[in-house]
Amino acid sequence: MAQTGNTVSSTIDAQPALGRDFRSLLGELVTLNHITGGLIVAPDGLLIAARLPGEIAPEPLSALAAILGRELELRDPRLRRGTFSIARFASGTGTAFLGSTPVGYIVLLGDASADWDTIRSALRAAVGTVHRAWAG
Amino acid sequence: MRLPAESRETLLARADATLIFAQPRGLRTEEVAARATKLARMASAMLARAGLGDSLHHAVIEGAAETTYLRADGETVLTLSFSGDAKGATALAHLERVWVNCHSELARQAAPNRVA
Repeated sequence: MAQTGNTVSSTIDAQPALGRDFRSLLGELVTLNHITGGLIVAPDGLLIAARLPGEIAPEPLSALAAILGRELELRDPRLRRGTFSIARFASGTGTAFLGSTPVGYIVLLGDASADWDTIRSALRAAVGTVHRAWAG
Repeated sequence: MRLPAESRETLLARADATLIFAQPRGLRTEEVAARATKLARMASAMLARAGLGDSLHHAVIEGAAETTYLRADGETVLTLSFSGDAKGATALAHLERVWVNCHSELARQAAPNRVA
C-alpha cells in the first residue's frame, strides 16, 4: 500500500535501477545479432528471467546453467587466479555465453554466427551494471 | 610436443578424466583433469538442453588474470591457460594446433598396438 509523498511510495513507484530490472536487461541482450534467447538464473538454479524460443524449457536449462556457473567458480584454486567473469561454450551449431554477477548468471544463446567480441562487450557491460546495482 | 610459449598450463585427459599429458605437472594435476572433464560434460549437457547440439566443441573461460581455452570431443579434453592479455584469436589457433598434434601423437602411439 504505497502512500504518496513518503519514502515508501517513492521506493515502490520508482523505476527499478537498470541492474535490478532483470527483464529489461535481458530484453536488451537478446536483441543482439545472432542471439536467439537468454536467461538469468540464481546460483541455486532459481530462474529469475527468461527470453527463450518456445521449444526450449527454461527450468532444466537454468538448473544446468547454475551448476555450470558454480563449477566454474569452484575451479581448483591453483587454476583460479581470479573468479571467472565470462565464458563461452561452442558446439558445431551454436554457442552459449555465461556471465557471472553477484545475483547469479546471465546466459545467452546464440547461433554459430554470433560474434564473440560483440557479445562479450555487451555481456561485460551487463555484468558491470548488475555489479554496480548489487555489490554496493 | 611443441607447446605455445605463452601457455601457463596445458592438460590433456580422456573423457573419463584419465590424465594423458600435463605441463607443468603437480600434485593437483589429476584433480584439475577431473574438473576439466566434468566441466566439458556439463557444458555439453547445457548445450543440448539449449538446442545447440549435443557436444561441446570448445570453450573459453575468462577470469580476472587468465583465460582458459578448452577443446573437447567425446573422447578427450584439452585445456590451455593463457594470461588475460593474450589475444583470443592467437590462443584459439594455438588450441587447435595443439589439439591436432595431440591427436596425431595419440594415433601414432596407438598404431603399433593395432598392428600387434
